[in-house]
Amino acid sequence: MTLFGRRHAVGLVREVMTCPQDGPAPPVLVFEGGRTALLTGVAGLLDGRVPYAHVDLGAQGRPGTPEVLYALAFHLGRPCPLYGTLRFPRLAVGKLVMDDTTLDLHDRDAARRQINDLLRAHRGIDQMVTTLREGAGTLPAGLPASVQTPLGLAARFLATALGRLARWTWSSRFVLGRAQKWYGAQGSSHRRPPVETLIELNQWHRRPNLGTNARQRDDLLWAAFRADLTAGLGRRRHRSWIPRCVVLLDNADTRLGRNVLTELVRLRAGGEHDPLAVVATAREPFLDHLPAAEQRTLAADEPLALARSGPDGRRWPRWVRYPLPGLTEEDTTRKVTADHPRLDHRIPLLVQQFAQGNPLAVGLLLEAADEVPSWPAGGNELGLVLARLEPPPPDDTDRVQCTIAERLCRHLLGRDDRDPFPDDEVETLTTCAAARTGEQALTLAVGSGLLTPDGYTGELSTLLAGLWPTAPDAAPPPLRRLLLRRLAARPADAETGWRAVHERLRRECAERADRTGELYHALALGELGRVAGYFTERAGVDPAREWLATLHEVVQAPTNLDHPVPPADEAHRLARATGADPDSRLGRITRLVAALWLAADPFTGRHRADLHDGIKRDYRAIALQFHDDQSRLVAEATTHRVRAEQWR
Amino acid sequence: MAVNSRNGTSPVADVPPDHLAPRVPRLRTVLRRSAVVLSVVVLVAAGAAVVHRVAVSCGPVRSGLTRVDGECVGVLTDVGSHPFSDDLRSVQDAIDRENAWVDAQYRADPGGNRYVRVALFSPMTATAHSFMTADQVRHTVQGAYVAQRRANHTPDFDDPRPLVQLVLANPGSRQAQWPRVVRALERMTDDRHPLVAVIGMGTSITATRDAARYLSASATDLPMIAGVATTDEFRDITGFVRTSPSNTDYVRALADYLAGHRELRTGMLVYDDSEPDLYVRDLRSAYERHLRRYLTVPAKSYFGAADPENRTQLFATIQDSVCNAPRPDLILYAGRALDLDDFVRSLALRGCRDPISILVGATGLSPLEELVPTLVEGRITIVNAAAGHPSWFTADSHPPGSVPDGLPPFLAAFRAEKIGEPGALADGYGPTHHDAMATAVMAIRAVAPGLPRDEVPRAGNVRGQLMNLNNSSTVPGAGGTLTFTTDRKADPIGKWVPITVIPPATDAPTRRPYVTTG
Repeated sequence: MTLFGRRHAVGLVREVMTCPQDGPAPPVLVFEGGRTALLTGVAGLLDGRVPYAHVDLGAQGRPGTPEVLYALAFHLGRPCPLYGTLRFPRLAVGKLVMDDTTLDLHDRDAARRQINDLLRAHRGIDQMVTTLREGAGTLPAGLPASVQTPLGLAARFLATALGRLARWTWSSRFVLGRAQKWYGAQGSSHRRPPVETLIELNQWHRRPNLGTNARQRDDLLWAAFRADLTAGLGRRRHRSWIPRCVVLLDNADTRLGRNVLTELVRLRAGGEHDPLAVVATAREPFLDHLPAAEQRTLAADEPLALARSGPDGRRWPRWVRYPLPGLTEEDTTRKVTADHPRLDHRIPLLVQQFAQGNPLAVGLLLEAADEVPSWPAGGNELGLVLARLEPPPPDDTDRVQCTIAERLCRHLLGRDDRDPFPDDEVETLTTCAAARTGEQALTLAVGSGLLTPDGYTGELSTLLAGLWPTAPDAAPPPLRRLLLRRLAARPADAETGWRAVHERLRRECAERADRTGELYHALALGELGRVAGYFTERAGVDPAREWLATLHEVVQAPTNLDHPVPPADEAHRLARATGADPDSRLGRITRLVAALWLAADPFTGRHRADLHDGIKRDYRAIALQFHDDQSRLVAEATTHRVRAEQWR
Repeated sequence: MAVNSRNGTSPVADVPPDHLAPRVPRLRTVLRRSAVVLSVVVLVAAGAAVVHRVAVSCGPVRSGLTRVDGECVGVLTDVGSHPFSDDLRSVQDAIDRENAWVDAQYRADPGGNRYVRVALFSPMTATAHSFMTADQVRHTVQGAYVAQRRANHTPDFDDPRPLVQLVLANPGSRQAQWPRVVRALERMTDDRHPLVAVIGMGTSITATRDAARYLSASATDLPMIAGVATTDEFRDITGFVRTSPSNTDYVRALADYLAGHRELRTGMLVYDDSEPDLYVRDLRSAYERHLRRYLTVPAKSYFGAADPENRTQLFATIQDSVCNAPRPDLILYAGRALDLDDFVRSLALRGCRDPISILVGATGLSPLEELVPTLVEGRITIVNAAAGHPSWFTADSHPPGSVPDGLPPFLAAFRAEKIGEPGALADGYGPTHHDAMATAVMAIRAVAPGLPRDEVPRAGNVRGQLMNLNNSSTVPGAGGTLTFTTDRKADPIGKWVPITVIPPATDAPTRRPYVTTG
């Protein structure tokens, strides 16, 4: 599946990769708002060309810096033309020593003998690779090894020929001996017997909570990792045309991710150079606590423009953040053309309206839509798609087969299959999703007892904050739409059912003199006549701009309609049900509100050309009532004429 | 879900699949591609070379032999690995067994049983255009083998150490591949069991001369002991000796015969005018030098076996000339034995019937029993000065008349080996190459006493002993007790050159044969 709308992001990755390896490290590039799909795409571009490691830092359990380094070393160690096979013997020695829980920490001589015996017993380089792989086992690769396409035969031969020769040329003893010796000096001029450092390493690892043991252990392992990488790259580091090796870190905003990246940046700030390009993804911003000088946020399509110079050799910040833009309609259309050429061209429009550019959501929905044998005559195509079961997962995974809606929900909540579904949080979010703004949602949650101060967590507040767009008339994000569907699916008479929640929210809006909010929730409750009556009353009274702004906010109200008939018909039915004369001003405005309300719902049917034609006609007719600025309504009419063509 | 770009498609729209790949500098790309191309070319060339090697090899790939123009040429050290012909299979197997025995002796006592190698450089294949017949090729190898056996198992050639292996070096039926063969021989002089002498050298043609001159000038100092190369021109080649009479020796023997046959006074020289026949040219020159007073009739020429493209079956002009006045009673024949049959038959058809004698100097004529009726009818007598007499090689264990001292033990050894068919010795190739091998062994063993026990002679040492094979150190050859001196250079002293008159062919010589002197 091709990833759309990420060209600039890939360009940024290339910019950090092409920073000279023997110079200051480039900033850590953090993509906000996107996750696996982007890094998987980048990994696909790197695979077989540049050494890279793709690791998910959102793993459960208690992995730490050592496990992350093992995973990085293991994945970076795949053969690659021009780079050969990178080996990490120093890191492997460290792990071997750390894993020995029987080391006698009371008898130094005995400990020395034990370490020497241990290293002597693990002489094979193959064993070193196995050691690292075992250490990395708790951290899943972003791309499982079984899915990675192996190098072509010729490329693999070229890439591994020297590695194998080196393996023959270097006896195992020689390799491990040199790695062991490194622990004596660790690249500095001060030397001590390596075995002494290794004994301390074991001590630090077995008592990480004691003093600065964990920090010392991690620093030493980072140094070993860097030394291995530098030694493995050799003179390639000085060739300007050879890009840096790449580390792709998913879920950098987890506790583990923050720790690892903070350590890396700290070491870089301390003068430690590493020949890596680090690219991370985070669901939400996590660097707000850092000084502004240490970070920079890029605008859409803004390049990094990294350049060498300055007396301190560095001009760029330690972190660069890039909020990933959503897919545009054009991106979605091109994606459909590329990946789903047989799909009804109107379905992607529905998908885009629902997913709001979220690449994974778009991809999931389009793939599922491609499997639908036929579409209903009326609407609710997306409902059909969301209700479909996803393809059965491979037998050797823990993945559970669920509906597209559930999969999407998990994805948007950032929960893997291994994580239990946060039912309680989701129920709270579902109730709160009915609110028109985030503030109202929080008020609702706390005021209604749904959310107690004790139960309030940073994660929930982060999720809540993300459910409402900044612009009041902007469409809701896909997670909120899913939550609203869950709300609509609750029993009609439930205390936190659709009606109860919207009525409560309407009351609160009325109490706050929030007329727009009142109308919004009234419309959600199906009170079309009342809402249309307001707009009829204010047509020609309020300035066109205000009238339209309110109208646009109100018609974003959620629906719990089934959409049994085509949208134009449904709009007529809803309008007729209010009893308004279709040819009267009230009738037209009622029809207009109904049509706009349906048009704002991605679950409304795909046959929307007539719907938008009707909106166009009604806008033109209503425009005559606005003496101050008819052009605004005429412009709206034109917009809907264009949309009608899109939906035709 | 496509996760990589190795199949040519990019996982990210509007991003080329190689967007993140290293941008290899053009020169490096060119160099890399050139290296790849070069590697492929080298591999293909190596593969082709291997295929070619397999295709042109004779026997095992590492036999040392190469197929050239349908013949297997080169140096065969593993003598049993590739029989040059069915004719040679038996004697090659015998040599292989002897060589294996020598090596086994060495392995059992490396310090006491060091050994050296001697190469028999001679055509191993015979064709319609070759200078040696298949029988002569076979007899050559047989003679050398018998000498090897005597050298390794008897005290006939002095101290039985060092032992000797025999290897076969084939320059081709017309000796055209001599360059590659002599180079291979040169490389063998530095082996642990070094090559220390070359025997045989083939017939008297330019190829033999060129090979001999090459080895003479070679830094390896390989000595050469020829068996049938009789051309006088070879006398002055340093490091070269022969166990056969020279052409001059043949002519002197014939002169000695004519001295006892004063009725023969009018002679006509008939010579082979084909190139590159050194023997014929040289023999003609010897006739002209030593029998000039007999050449009273203008000479006649023909194109013989040496030039297969210009071969003539009939000697029409010569046939007519012998009946013109002055009629010759002698024909001094300077041609190859291969053409003699045709000449005799043509001469027998001459119009006149005066007796005529054909004088021939040759190592050994092929058996001429079939020709005797023609000779009788045509009143033709062949007077052949040869390296041996037919009576020496009958079934009798004691040849009649005087024979060289070394002949009876040679005959006994030859018969004991059961390597030759009846009449194998008649053409003289066996005995003369036996003597060549014996000479080489004597020279080798003349060096050995002066060396430490675990050392072996080198080629240069052996060459230095050739001219010391005299006085108390003579070669007990089948064709005479041979000595070599600087005065005679390549030509042996003590070589018997008996005269055979045909008919009759089997009578013992009636007079004491000519023996070469210093």
